[in-house]
Amino acid sequence: MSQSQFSRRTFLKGAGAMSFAMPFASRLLPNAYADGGALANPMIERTARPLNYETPLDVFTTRITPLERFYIRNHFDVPMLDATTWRLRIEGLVDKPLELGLADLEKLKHVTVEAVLQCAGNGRGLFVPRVAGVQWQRGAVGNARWSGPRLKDVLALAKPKAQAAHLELQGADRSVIEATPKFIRGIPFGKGMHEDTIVALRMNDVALPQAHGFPARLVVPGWVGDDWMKWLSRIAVLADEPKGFFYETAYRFPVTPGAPGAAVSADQMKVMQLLVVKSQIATPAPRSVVAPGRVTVKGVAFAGQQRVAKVDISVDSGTTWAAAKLVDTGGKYGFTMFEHVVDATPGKLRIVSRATDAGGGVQPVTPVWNPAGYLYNAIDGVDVEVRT
Amino acid sequence: MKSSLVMMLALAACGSKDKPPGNQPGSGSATARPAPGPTPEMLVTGPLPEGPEAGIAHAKCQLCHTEQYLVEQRLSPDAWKKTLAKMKKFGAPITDDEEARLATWLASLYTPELPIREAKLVERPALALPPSNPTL
Repeated sequence: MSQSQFSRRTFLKGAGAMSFAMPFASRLLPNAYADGGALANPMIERTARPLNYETPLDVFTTRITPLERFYIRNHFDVPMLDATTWRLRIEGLVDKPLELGLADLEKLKHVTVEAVLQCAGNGRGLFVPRVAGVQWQRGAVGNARWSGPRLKDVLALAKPKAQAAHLELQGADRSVIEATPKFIRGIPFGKGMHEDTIVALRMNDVALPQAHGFPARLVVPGWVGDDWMKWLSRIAVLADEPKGFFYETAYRFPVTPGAPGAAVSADQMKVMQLLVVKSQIATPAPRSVVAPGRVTVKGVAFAGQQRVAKVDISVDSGTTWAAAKLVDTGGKYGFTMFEHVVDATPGKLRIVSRATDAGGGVQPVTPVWNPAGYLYNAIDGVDVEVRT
Repeated sequence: MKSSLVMMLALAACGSKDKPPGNQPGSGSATARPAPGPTPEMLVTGPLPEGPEAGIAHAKCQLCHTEQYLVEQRLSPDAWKKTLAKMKKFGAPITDDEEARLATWLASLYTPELPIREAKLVERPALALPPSNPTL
């Protein structure tokens, strides 16, 4: 990967009035990926414990994100589960509470769903003013094939009662400190019964990696990653919404997003569910040097549970846009791949992409600031230097 | 970690030729000034600067997570205060005094004005691949 050390600050001075450059971006140090060349599977390390690793952008030139490069997000240490003793307990408003082992799940009909998994906080590190939390930039997202039984078939074994309205989800991961809230999430019963919601035992056709929830995780296509419970160990069928910090306080989004930095009262926050439309340029790499002439821009777009209708590219700060070619799609939940050729002349070049979903949703110019830095999807791009 | 800290301190001490190298307690020199604090570059790339509060962080915060969690934040004093309060509520075994000291110290270092941490590339963790004998 070629690198350059030109000043983003100088370059950004030339940006038009409708600038997509975020103010802090000019403060990035050069050579973002300078030391990754010798690594077989370079990942961006956020925290080594717990495991929080971000996918470098050059990975997003393929529709399926390889396991070796798939982002990893954890609240706690990875529980090392034994597949022979692991059990999934189903309890609550069911006629037949039960515990299932891996063999029980293997017996059920399996389906495969291709879907984007994105951390709610992907892009948190791009918000201004800054917010606390893992400072993900652009790579806490990936697209995989997930296989396993449908959750509705698993739930049917326990015979949910008529009052079932919510599912409380819990994994086997725990803090080393007893007082830390357990990671407990919830989804509406209806989403749990959706035919595309599955208990995944496989990821990209092999057993789930331990960092991704071995031996079983929930896959909730189109919804944010915090609902995709890893090391799935307990599902409680409830009439009411679950309790606890990670459901009642965390992973909530303002009902009406306000001014950046403004506090939002708890009663004005709602549970986050759907992903929002977003695109990401994979190549050329940020701060790379490209030769003058035809430069092929490639990347991915996704839109929760809607198809990506179009991706537009601009090289003049959003004054004009050209439609990129949608070359491949993983369906309504997966990555849609786009390509576009721009004519690059010597100098600095900023290339931005903007996706629009089938429902008319479009990436905003201004990030939708929120107190925890979730669902960043502002129009974004890469800065490159064009020279021979 | 230790050696890089030593190197950082050595670099800091060498940062300015007209200053004595380091802050020798009781040296009695009229011209002695406190050792220069960590430069922004050191804060962005390095571990926590040395100090009593770093000792608290290493002993208490690292029970659950690496100090990387701390050094990549860029928060206002108020946000640091809230973060420490949240951590204490989550069970971080820190006294009220330690909570306040950490909040003040971290707010003095990792400010919204500090450049963001550079992406550090490493080889993927072993657990990114399936277990060798998954029994599937």
